[in-house]
Amino acid sequence: MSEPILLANIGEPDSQTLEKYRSSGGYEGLRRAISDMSPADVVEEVKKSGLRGRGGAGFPTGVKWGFVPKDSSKPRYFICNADESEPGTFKDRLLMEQDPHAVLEGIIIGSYAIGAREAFLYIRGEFADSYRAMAAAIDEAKHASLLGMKILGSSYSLEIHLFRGAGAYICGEETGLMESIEGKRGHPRLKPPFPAAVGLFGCPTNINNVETVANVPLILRKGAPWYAEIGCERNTGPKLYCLSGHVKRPGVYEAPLGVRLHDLIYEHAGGMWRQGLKLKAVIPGGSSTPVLRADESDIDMDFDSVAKAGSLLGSAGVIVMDETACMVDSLLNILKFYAHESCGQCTPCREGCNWLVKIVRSIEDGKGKSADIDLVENVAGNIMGKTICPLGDAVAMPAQSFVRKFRHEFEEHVRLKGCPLKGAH
Amino acid sequence: MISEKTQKKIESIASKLPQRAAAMLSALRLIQDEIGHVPPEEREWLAGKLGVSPAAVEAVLSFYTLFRREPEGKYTIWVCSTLPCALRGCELLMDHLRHALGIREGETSPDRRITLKRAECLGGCDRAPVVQVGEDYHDVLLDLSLGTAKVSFERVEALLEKLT
Ligand SMILES: Cc1cc2nc3c(=O)[nH]c(=O)nc-3n(C[C@H](O)[C@H](O)[C@H](O)COP(=O)(O)O)c2cc1C
Ligand code: SF4
Ligand code: FES
Repeated sequence: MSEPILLANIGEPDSQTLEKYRSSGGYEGLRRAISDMSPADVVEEVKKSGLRGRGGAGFPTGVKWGFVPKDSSKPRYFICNADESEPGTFKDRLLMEQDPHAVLEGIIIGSYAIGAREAFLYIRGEFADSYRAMAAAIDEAKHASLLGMKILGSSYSLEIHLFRGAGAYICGEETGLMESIEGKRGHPRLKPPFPAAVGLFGCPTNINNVETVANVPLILRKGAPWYAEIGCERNTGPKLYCLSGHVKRPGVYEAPLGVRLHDLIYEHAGGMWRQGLKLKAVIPGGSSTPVLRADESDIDMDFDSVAKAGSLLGSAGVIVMDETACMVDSLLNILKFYAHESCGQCTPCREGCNWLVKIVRSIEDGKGKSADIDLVENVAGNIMGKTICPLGDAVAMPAQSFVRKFRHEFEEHVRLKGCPLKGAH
Repeated sequence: MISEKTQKKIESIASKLPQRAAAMLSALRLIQDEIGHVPPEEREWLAGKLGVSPAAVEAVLSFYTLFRREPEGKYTIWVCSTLPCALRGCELLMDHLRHALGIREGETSPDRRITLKRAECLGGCDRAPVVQVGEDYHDVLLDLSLGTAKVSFERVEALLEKLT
């Protein structure tokens, strides 16, 4: 296991304080950016690092920053997405609670790079500790002239607004989040226009995930070439993986992008939680990503390799299931989540989610017919790609993959008129 | 009506934002923190304060899970039941709490002390099965020492005793 980089401060006493953060090189990246580099230089440096967004899609961060127009007469905004709600994901919370200044420094550098004078940090409503830690860090940074008017004596000023969500998964979707900041329901917007052109309050806006911005200070402090050495080709840098489900030690583990999934499960997380039970399935990137069978799960955990294996790295929320897990019941659980969180704007998503829940519930309860199994795939196929935001795909992908990969379990439920694994715990 | 202090806080937030309506979520949270829920009178007041229609306030209130339009128990126990918590026995925990409190999901105990609700992934799956009460997360309510998942009655009792 390699030395932690992103989690280097975490677990140290007082890791949340400015003093501690500065003692290990904190805010050196910001100093370098503001005193030695133009905003365009900073964008270039982040492009060269190869950093890809950690919020789910893996889009190159520097490239995204470059999309924000420089000549707009409107203000530009930088948003940090701390809504962290994809089931199986809990890494951003750890960063905010234990290393809030790393997140803050990343937001300030990013805002400088795109020329934003105001930034927004949108924290999931349930995360009270994250909110308190970030609020305290903002106060400390203001007093140390790292935030506010004329940062570090330069001509650059930045104000940060802290926002708290109120319990809605869909507000993690970037345009849903913008609607929410604007004081509305979190209904995702039709794209284009993209946020870089028309975002928050109709102004050019950039949005990045918490873990993404926490990587930025490291790049500025140690340089893009150093950063690009970590990980693997086109997938650079350290990554936080969230291990949950049937493992001995659930938790957040850092490893370079491209770490073997089985190393995460068996070494970092200690293997199966109960002796003698075998691995059955893994969801590699949060509950919206396609499930992998045990025999296809020994893969490299970077954006491209997981895609090649037929799933997605997503939020790196690795959900592990042993042989006591019922795949029909697990799919039902996932479907209920998305059905509850669908904002209801698109008919395929709103109706499709509810239908999928009904059909899979009837199979789990032993009232399903053989044709219902095909119907699941069919309904999912009719949602896929036909909606305003990717939540539609997020429900279709697990539905299709569970049925395709564990069809025999669905058939067994139909044949036995019930769940053979009920009460297996 | 909410206190003058809270009214001032809301005004101060609204005046610092690019648009006043952006203070909506913060304001609703402040009102709810003071009163316990967001009553009709405050909704109307807030609409005027932020320059939006009363319907716009209603729309937001009904959209977000954490906002309450009606009073609830003094404490709300949120039992997470999304997949990572389900894999680690959250239904056992839910059953146990229902029995211990003598109420169903969504109900409030007769002494108005506790409301029991089902939550979606709380972003604490490393501590699954997890429950949230107020601002705090509580874990290891399940005893795995015997090799099978069992509800740890002592831990649940200790938690419930704290909620007075
Ligand atoms: C339904 C849905 C939920 C999402 N939830 C989150 C979230 O909780 N946190 C997050 O950072 N990104 C989330 N995203 C992705 C964001 O839309 C956006 O792509 C991301 O914040 C961009 O940041 P990045 O470029 O740094 O990865 C979600 C997307 C969808 C479609
Ligand atoms: S896909 Fe679903 S969640 Fe997304 S906008 Fe449409 S209805 Fe809303
Ligand atoms: S599933 Fe319960 S906290 Fe994530």
